[in-house]
Amino acid sequence: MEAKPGVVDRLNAILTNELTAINQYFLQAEMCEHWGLHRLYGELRRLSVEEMREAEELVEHILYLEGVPNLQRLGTVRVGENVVEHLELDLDLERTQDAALAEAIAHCAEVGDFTTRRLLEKKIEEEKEHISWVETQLDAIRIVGLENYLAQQLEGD
Amino acid sequence: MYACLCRAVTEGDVRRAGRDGCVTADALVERFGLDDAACCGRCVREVDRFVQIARQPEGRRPLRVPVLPQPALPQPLPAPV
Repeated sequence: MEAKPGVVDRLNAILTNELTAINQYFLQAEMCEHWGLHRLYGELRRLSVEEMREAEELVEHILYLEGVPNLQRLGTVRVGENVVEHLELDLDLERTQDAALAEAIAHCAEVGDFTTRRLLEKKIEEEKEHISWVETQLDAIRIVGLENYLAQQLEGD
Repeated sequence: MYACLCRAVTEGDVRRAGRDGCVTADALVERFGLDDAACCGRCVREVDRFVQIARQPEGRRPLRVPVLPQPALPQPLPAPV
């Protein structure tokens, strides 16, 4: 099925963010594992895998629209030197993705591509869950203090 | 955070380089090997970010998570009348 104008470009931009997120979460997870924060490792790894699944859906949809998924392009992978920096950078990444998805959804409605719009609406819901998870971690750090929070991350689930 | 992942350069490293007098784009590219073949090349294109960090004052960036206010100390009960 041929895509409406501007849709594939937007999907590719969202795909770039997904690919960046896969790597960012993956590296942060491994750093946390290295620091002995096994529980946080599990959570960040889960996010990385979820982003990969979302990227897979996007690639399939771009091909369905007879476009070419751009897996060559990657955004800046931003990792911190500590857990708080990791989480802050993740929040930035997720908010960027949220804004890109919102803009793409509005565009799809405008050009009448309702299949893509539905796919993106599902994605924005998943991204909001990621934002909520990161915000909850930062809130928890604020409430119980960084040391107490990190102590809770030592044991894996 | 890491300013350049390819060369494992942190923002602290860039600030320290700035304190040593590396505050121009060319000096920073040379110092950290940002135009090296082992580097992805993104940092050379965005070297202004490095210049900005190098000109920041030394010291760690404060964490954005605010410290909770300390609970108020219990006040002594009023003296019985």
